[in-house]
Amino acid sequence: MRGQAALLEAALLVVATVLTFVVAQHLFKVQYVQSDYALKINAERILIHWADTGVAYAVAYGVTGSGDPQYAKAALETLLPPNVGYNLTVVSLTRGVIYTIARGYDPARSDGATLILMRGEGRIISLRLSR
Amino acid sequence: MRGQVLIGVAALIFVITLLLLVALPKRTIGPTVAIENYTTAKREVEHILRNAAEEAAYATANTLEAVLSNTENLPPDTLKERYTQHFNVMFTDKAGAYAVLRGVFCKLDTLDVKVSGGKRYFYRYFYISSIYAVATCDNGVMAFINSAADVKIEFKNLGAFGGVKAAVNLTRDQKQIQLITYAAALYDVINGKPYRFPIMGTFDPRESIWYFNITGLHYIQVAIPPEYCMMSNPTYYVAIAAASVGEGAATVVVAKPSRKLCGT
Repeated sequence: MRGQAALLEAALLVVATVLTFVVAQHLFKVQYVQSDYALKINAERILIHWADTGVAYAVAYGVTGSGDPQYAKAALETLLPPNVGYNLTVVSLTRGVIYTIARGYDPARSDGATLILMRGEGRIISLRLSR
Repeated sequence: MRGQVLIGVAALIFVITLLLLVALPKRTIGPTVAIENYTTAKREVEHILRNAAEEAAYATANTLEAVLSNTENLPPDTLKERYTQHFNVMFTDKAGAYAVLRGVFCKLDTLDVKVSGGKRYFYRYFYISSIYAVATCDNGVMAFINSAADVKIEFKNLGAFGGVKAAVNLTRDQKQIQLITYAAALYDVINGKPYRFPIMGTFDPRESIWYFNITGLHYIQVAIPPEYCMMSNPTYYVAIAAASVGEGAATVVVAKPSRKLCGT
């Protein structure tokens, strides 16, 4: 009888310890569990690079003021491998969506970043990448 | 008995862990995008300053009419004051829209505008020669722009027309700007009222002339119509606005001849 009780106590102890470890895991929640961290960081780095080199203005405004989707497509596809899908949307703060271009884009497995430019009425460049 | 104590201790640790889980904020293991987020925010604010600098140049040139009441009342200080005012307005407008979008409030901390000029033969001119601006935001981002302009003006007799040749060199952080936009107009002051005569483009970044030169030195050449260049005692100013595209470099040039420019 005493042996069974000791066994039960030991089992309870093990259960409590395991539960403690399991619960403690959630104290250190890892970001981007469902999305893809690498895609987000790549999208951010592409937009930063565009902002630094002036490409962002060609993409968002172009010479006509309505953006340049062909240029944006070429600029993106020289940077991204074929197995990475993308969705690039340029939005005017006053006129709404100016244009969207996409290639093999899967929203369910995507992540991305945005860049705001305030030339004229302002533009938001939203770049989302997917695997 | 010893077993019960052990279970009690384990249960206590479990309960404390549960309480910590509820009470403590989540921590992140592994890499974060903090650096990229900060860099993006810094670039965005920097570009607000750049765009304000460029658009303020056009706005200044566009509103020179408001300050011209005679042929001599546009001293360099007025140009500097007008540009500074427009820069402030542009920045505030853009920072307001940015605050709505990102929830980040930015303010203009420093704005230092310098005007240079020259007097040669029968004409004088002055222009915005440097722009230094610093903005700080409530998310800890600080951004600045530092740009300069070097301008040389030459008036020419082109027979039936007069001509102005402006050699404009815009730099940002000591780097020459290759792509610029520009526009030019003539302001004639008659009986205390200025009248505008558009020469090239309009003082609006969207309707200005695009000019790319790999050397970074841009020759802006404009013609002055006979009815003006024939004036033996000119009452007009030539105004030129030139700005980079997203680089934060810009200048406004105002030039005035003091004798007849064309004909024999």
